[in-house]
Amino acid sequence: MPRFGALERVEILAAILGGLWCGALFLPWFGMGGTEGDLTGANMIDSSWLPLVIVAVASALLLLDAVTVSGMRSLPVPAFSTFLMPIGLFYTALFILAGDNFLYGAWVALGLSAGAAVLAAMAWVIDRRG
Amino acid sequence: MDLQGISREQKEMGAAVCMLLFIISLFLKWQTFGPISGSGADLGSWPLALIIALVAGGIMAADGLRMDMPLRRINPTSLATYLMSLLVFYVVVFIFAIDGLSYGVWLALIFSVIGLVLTYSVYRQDTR
Repeated sequence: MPRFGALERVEILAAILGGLWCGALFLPWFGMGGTEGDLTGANMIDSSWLPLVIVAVASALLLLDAVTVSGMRSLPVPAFSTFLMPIGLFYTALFILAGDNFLYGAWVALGLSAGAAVLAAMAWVIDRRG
Repeated sequence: MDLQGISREQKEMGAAVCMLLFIISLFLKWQTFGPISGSGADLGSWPLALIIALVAGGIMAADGLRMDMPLRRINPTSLATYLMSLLVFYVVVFIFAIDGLSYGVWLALIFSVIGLVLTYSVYRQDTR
């Protein structure tokens, strides 16, 4: 079992939360009063694939940076992921501000995206300190 | 187009004007569907876009006018660049999501992209 440093541990945690946010897109976010089924984060808008791809890429990069021996030296992964990860939080916030009759999926997604964004930023800070 | 020939202050004021125009475009027609049309301000989340555009534009205008800003640990142009990239994301999400796109959404995209390019250019100047 490899021993991970502080940067790698934070990167792995951020990647896990980002991955879980991608899964939370498919949970029910808004209730439709039982008439047409609940709206998930993925089916309420045609462009939900866009934040899904962005957060998935950020999570995969963080995970790869953490588990590879020398990291991904050609790309400043923590800084790049700090830029990409809050997109999930922004997307979630957009629909929480716009909608009502929330279901648990919206709050789960909000928590996961906020956690992923904070942890990605923490990884960036640790990386900058060296 | 060569951005090197434009002074830093001109770029900053240009980006601030773009944010103002973006805000105006929120109130123009974004969608036409038969007899029904809707503006960007009909989207429930438009106040968030408005606040982001005001903050990003305000930062660029204040920096362009050499005003002191209460931002000690954050580079103001990096913050403005990030906020403008969120606006581009906001418009692109709705471009992919809505049918019957109208001129307002394209104007919003143009102003947010030009604002982002100008702000990013200032940010690159700062970090060199």
